[in-house]
Amino acid sequence: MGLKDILKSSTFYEILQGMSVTGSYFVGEKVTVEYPKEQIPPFERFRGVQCLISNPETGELNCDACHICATICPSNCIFIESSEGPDGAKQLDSFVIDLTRCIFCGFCEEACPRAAIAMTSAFEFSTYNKNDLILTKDWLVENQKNLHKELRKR
Amino acid sequence: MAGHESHPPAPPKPRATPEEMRERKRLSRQRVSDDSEFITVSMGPQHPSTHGVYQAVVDLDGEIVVNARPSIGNLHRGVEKLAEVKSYHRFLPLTDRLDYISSFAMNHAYAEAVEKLMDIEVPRRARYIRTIGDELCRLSNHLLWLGVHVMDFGAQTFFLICFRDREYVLDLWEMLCGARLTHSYARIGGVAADLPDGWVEKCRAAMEFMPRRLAEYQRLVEKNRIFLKRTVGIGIFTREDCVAWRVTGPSLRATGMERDLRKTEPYAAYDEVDFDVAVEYDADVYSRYLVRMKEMYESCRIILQCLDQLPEGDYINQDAPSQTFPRKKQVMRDSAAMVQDFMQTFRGPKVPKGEVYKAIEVPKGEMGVYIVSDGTSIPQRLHLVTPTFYHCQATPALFEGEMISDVVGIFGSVDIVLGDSDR
Amino acid sequence: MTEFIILIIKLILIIAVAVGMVPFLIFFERKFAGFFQSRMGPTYAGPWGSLQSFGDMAKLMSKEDLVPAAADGPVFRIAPYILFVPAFVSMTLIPFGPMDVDIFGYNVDLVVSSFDAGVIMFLALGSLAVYGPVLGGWASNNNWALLGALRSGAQMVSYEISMGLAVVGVIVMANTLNFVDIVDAQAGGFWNWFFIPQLVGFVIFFVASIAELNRDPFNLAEAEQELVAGYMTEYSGMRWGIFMFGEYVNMVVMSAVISTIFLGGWRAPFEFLDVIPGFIWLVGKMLFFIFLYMWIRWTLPRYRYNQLMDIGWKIFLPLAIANLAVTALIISVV
Repeated sequence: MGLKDILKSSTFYEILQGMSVTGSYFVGEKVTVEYPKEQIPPFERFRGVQCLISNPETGELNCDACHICATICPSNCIFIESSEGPDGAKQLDSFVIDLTRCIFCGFCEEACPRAAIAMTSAFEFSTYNKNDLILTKDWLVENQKNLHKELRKR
Repeated sequence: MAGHESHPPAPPKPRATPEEMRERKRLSRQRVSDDSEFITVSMGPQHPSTHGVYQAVVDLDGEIVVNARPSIGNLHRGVEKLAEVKSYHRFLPLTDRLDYISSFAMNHAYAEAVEKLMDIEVPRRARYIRTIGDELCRLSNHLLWLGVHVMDFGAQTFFLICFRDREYVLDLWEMLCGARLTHSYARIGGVAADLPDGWVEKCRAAMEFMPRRLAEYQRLVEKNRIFLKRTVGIGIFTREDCVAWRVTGPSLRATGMERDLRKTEPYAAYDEVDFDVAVEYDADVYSRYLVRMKEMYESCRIILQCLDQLPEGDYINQDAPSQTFPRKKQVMRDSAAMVQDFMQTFRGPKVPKGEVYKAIEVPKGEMGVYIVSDGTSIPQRLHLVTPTFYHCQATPALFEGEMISDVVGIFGSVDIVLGDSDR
Repeated sequence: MTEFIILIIKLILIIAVAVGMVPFLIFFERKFAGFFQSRMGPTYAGPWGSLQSFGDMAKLMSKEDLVPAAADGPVFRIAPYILFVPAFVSMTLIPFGPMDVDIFGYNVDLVVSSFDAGVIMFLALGSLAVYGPVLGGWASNNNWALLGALRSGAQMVSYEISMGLAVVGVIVMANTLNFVDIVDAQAGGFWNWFFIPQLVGFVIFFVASIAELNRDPFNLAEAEQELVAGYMTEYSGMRWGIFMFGEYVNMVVMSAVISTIFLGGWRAPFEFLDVIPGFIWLVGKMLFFIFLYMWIRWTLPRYRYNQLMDIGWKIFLPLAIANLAVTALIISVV
């Protein structure tokens, strides 16, 4: 133990060094974001709750009822009912997402061939009533307002 | 790097041979059943420090631990069984939830194994992106480990500071794939999406800033006499112990053994970047801390090199239409891609018969994926060889003979996450 | 008669100050914890969150008063107060200003009692306070509480010895045991304060006081011990609140004593600053030490129990004795 080591240990040198680091945090900038007064908007690719996309002019859904999203979903949370419409094409009767099962992986959005379903930036979803977590077609179409990214980016 | 100088390899003498340990255990069990002069304590499933739902039933003789019996399985979700009913594509998000702190590394391990089984190649750009993702996960994991470890010793400030710096990494992930924790970013044949605009600059700025922060942590902790007293010479777990109990990763490298799968069996882009393997020789808690600190510096270095050398190209394999998903742009315009989309969803990928084992170096150790395929698009058997399972298994060897106040420190230094061990 | 009334008023003031400071100390502890961790502490209750402790007290008072059936009732109930009360008695010994001051025409000594064995009384009360945790742990009828209590008691007793010896150096220099006279011996500027010649004693006393207060890095009894929850396990609601209160009041008293013995008490660092009344200087010095206690708590990890006892007996005790020997030598020669 050289003289320098003895000096350093008796004057608590490294402890003071550590304290200077915390001292610098004390006077430095605080990183707290006072949620819910201040909000941090999520980034563009954020995978929030889903929405169904409709044509802005005609109000018609892009969805073709092809069932790809329901099949690719890893947790089987999309329930689609479709029937044959007047002109022979498939028509969407009911589209239900069970949010209690959804794991927000984004596979439905990725696999959809018509860009009819997308994930929005909505994530504040606490509710006292579990039935609120079963999302119906109308609610999902409503949710388009939370869409924040350009489609067809990939 | 400032700090502890590594001295020449002087392997510490092993605490006990496996035979001696077995004999000791047999004797201690006898004594307990005979006159039960030992107190049995359950370090119950709820820990004051965030190790997860892990239980160790510990017999104490005064202050010394005589016997320790681990009890895992509280987080078991049947992931391997679920793999037998889901196609290879649909299984990917479940690997996220294994070691949920470094999700992408788990995705990567699974994707590598499946690609080896299907014998498809990953484009160069995708390999670089996967390397960057792996190293970001390593950084995030080690930062969290550092915070929790020093908090176990009582300095709660450190925990929050490490989390503050982890935010940089989590923000990068959110920009990249849309989620902070459960990434699901790897796909069979590549990655899910290309890097967004501006991501490379942000990542570079964060990685250039990170070493300064790491140096600050070292100033706070590394020479601190209290920390040194709590960690130097504590919890010695020699190379023989590690090999006997299949403890891999930083704990193994702290004993002097230079085993890092990124160097010995390079995957992704690790053979094209330059980095050092972090090795220490003292095999105690302090050495494991030093190894992980070094690994964090190396991660920053690797990411910066990858960003500089990032090649142009595809982010997912385009030459295997029967095994990968098509790109979304093409699905909108090209009918062949649409058919591919339908086939991959409803029929699943075309997989040859056979079995494969592939291991990569995840932040906690070596993770391997073993798949047995019977030619259908759903695996017949999928087994995940996760590092934490074996670290938990080594509990008796780790704890016995140590003082009870050291137990938390030792256990923290081995770095467990129960999602990893219980699957 | 007036003497008696003045005494009562002084007593009430002391108690009010000590008790009143504690909620704000608890609030500052949490706020500073946040600042040291790069975050803001409580901000919700009141301006800048300052009413947070009052919210906490209201919550504690609304909890069920749980006394375990197998616990020793009277001892269990009294133990928190044994920690709590000696601190107030120590406060009465500390001078807040000069003697013989004229306030509104009354001749007042700004100290509740100028006790000629002040230092001994303070040390004795500190030893008495050890009974609080020990009896609390024993009365809880819980193995782990007992273990934590014994450890905490042993720790407090060991560090008291070093504390006492560190103070003896000051006593030798000031030639008196009375706090008032110790402050008077430090008259003049700050170069007369005892922390300069008694630097080693100062450091020993400060570190030993951290151990006395059961704070980080010596807080094996208070924070989540790895396994054992310490002597406060079975206490819930307001009883636990009293333990916490007692700890913070002890902190106030300890910092007051350090300021008095080593830093000149109510005296200003420079003569010309005497215009500012003495008790403001004293409170300022106390707040400085309290800040130091908090800074150290939020930076350092904690010692393992046997290492703690090692330090107390093998390092601090010899150092304190050496300090005393050297001081006595120099004083006798000079």
